Amino acid sequence: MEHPLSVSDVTQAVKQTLEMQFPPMWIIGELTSFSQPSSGHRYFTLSDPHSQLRCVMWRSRSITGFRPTAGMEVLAQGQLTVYERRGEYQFNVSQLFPAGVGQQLIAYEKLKKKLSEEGLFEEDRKRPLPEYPRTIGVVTSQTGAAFRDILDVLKRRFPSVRIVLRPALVQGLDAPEDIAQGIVELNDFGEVDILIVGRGGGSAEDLAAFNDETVVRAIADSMIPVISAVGHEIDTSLSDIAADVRAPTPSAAAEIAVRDVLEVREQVGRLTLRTREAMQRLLDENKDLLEAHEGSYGMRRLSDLIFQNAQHVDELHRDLYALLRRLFESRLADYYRMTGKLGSLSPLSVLERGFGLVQRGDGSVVSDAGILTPREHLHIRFAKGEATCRVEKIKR
Amino acid sequence: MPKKKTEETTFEAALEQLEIAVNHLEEGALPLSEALKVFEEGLKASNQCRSLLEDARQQVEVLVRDSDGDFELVAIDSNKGFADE
Repeated sequence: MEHPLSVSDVTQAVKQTLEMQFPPMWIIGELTSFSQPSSGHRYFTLSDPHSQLRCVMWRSRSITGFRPTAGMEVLAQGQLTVYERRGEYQFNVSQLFPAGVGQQLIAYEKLKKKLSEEGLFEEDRKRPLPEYPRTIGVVTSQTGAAFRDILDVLKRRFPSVRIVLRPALVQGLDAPEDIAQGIVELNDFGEVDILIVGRGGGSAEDLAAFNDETVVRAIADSMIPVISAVGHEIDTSLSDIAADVRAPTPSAAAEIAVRDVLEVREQVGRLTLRTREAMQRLLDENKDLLEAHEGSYGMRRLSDLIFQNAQHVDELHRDLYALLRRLFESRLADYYRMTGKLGSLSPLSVLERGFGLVQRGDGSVVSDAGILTPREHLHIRFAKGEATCRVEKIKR
Repeated sequence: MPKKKTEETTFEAALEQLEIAVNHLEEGALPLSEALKVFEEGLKASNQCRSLLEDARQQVEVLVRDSDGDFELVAIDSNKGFADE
């Protein structure tokens, strides 16, 4: 006969085997005999038509969103263990959900794990947002508060930005396909710089589309950077994890998408001022340089040279003028001499002395009064002007 | 990146131009004639930035894809026609 084991030894061995053999798991069943004594710990049984499983859930674990009551289908996550005092195995529960919600959660975790393994959520996949988008694409309900909020924020922060909405159903069975299609269409459209995908807050069921594989993949595959804007505070949707930037609300997404135009104006103003100041400095430096040059010997030499040349030019001018003047005066003298000689021969010079030249009507000069007839007209030329006269009396 | 209309100056490009001008001028190593040219370019970029920022009308359009797969844009008035969710 072998050496007998103590009860504790066996129990310990069973406990170890059990705990090592069964990793944490999800179990679905009907909740029966739920109790919560003053200690705060909960004791209950999960059943199906063939078996029962004793469960414990410690006070430190919280139950959210529902009140467990007997008869309810629930989903429990936990670890199989052995309660040594009684030698009974039991399920140590860490999370408890109504079956429907629980299944969603399992699907969520499963999809998250799958996409994560594919690398869809990798940090290095995240694209930076352009700082000054010209067009923002939005995929959400056209009539929803989310779109309204996005418009309000964009109008306030950067009014010149263009907004292109691709209206999409955001809840219901057709929502995932429609949202994903919207993301694809805005990519195909080609003029969009940033995409905002989301909706306002709602229940877990309302937000289900943003945990849908189709939507999450469309976000990850988008060529345009995506800001997710699913209105919720606690849970993170898979869309949020796949997006390039996560915003807690649609308004916040719009805030992230554009800078405040006032800030940008100020920046432009500062840069412009710096441009002017730098130019002014350059001009001042150059002015100083110029003034420094003006005082230098080289510069003085130069201006001296200029003045000397000017003086020389003046002298040349003067000489030339004198020469011309002399030339002119000698010519003038010649001229006078010539005209003087001519003058003494001219009949006009006789007239100057008071004589008159008398001519008849045919132009002949009269030197004998005997040829005249009474009442005949005669022309008399003076040094200045002439007169017509009538013969009154003739003396031979 | 998606294709963009290239015929208009983007704000980014104008701002970059302005920044380049500032940096060139602040380095201070430019001959005066060159500096004046850079300065003028800087002011031009600054004016472009301002005019691009001044456009204050909000342009909101709805993207509609027709049966041929072509896109159509329908302008909507952002100040009315919205109900709460």
